[in-house]
Amino acid sequence: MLLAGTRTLSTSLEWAVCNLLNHPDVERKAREELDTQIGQDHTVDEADISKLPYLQSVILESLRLHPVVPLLAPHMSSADCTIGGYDVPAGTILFANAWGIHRDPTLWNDPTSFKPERFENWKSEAYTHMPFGMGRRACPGEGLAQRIMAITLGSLIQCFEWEKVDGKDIDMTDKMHTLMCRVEPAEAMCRVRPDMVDLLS
Amino acid sequence: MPNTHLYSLFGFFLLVLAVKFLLPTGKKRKNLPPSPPAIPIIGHLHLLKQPIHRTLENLSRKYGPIVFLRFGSRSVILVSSPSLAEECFTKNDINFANRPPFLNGKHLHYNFTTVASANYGDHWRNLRRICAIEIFSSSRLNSSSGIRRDEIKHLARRLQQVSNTGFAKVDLRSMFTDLTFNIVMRMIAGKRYYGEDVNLIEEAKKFKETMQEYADLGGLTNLADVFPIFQSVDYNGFVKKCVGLSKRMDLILQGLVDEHRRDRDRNTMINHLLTLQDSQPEYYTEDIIKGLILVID
Repeated sequence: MLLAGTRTLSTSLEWAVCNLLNHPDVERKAREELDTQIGQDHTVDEADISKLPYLQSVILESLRLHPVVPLLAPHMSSADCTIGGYDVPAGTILFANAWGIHRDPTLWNDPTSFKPERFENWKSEAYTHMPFGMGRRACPGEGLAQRIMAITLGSLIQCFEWEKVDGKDIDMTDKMHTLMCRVEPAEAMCRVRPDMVDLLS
Repeated sequence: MPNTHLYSLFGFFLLVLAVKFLLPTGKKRKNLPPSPPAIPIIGHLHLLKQPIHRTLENLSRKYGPIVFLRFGSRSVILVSSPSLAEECFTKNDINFANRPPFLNGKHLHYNFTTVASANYGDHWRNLRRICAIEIFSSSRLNSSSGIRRDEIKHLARRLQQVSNTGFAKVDLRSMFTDLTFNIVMRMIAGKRYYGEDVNLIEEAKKFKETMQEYADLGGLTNLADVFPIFQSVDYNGFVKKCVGLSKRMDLILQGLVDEHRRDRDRNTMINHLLTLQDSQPEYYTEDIIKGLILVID
């Protein structure tokens, strides 16, 4: 729980906010949804998540472009088998390149662009989007991670305005340091929305 | 005369080739997936440049959706299409449900007994069941939703304080690192590692540093993982480092469990696991509980 549930989550949240900073139109649309669905009498709660399809799309899209475990955790075969008609011997380590699949132009239209709209009316097509892995050993904490991402991003958008530092686009270059993260820790400018002050105090 | 020798040598050579390729040997040649040219002994290790997901994506583009690689003496397949991923994770899911026996699984993960490092089998299935029922079920998550709401409210209040008079600069990484650590620690142990208490702040600092060291030693970073022949000699001190680190982590985790022995009223993951230990002490050992706290897949 400690190892798998903290850095993966914080890194995914950092990517998501960076994506929002680079796409103010998406941030605006997510805020409109929050204002319409929840208003100003309480901060977004886990029970509200199902009413926020656009916010969920923002999270799916951020996880698509920036899966923090891009090759998934390595699996290993216990017996000989065939995959795609080829022989795969026992004891072979399997890497599934989720990052590559998430950016495959034959599966995704304009794959490198951040467009949460692509997940509107999206039917979870098997094996095109797998930030939490697949099969028996997929991440058991997916549900918890989705909840935390949704209420964290939801609250940050609902209660605050966000801007880039000095108006400069966030550099989205990634590096691998056991997880896929941004090269430098990201900074952002934030300001509480005037009509949310009472709610937070 | 020398020519005759040459001819007979050539004839012998042909005969050897014929025997090798024409006679049935009882064992079919393996039809392995496409593979880039390899270097003896190291295989394809020389190709593994960072960032690794981009490098491997380029290999897939060149050699196809399934590529066979050798990392030292380990065989590896790289899969990069939905249909092949599906084949691996549905039809062959149980076959691929093991983890590679890397050194960190042995020395940092209670000798391959955590749910992240254990091979497929009864023990792993049981750990997964505990995760599904005792940790991540909807009812468990619903009962801890107040913790998460509270922690996010704390974060929002802090942001409000700094941005009351106008836009303020915030460091997103440290902000989210603190948030997820606080949420997870409260769910596991019911502890808040911030505020005025200096002892707690010191404890949290040590805890975070130890976790960072764990993260740094994770993954495929060690030569002995791709050349298991080196596993018998700890030539670079990796094992020694792991053993020292896991001892320090174990002390911290044991401390958390012992605190709960003195206070069984918290709605925490540790208390739920201790309740299981009460009924089946021989299975829910301290190491199993600490392993679950430490890592979940």
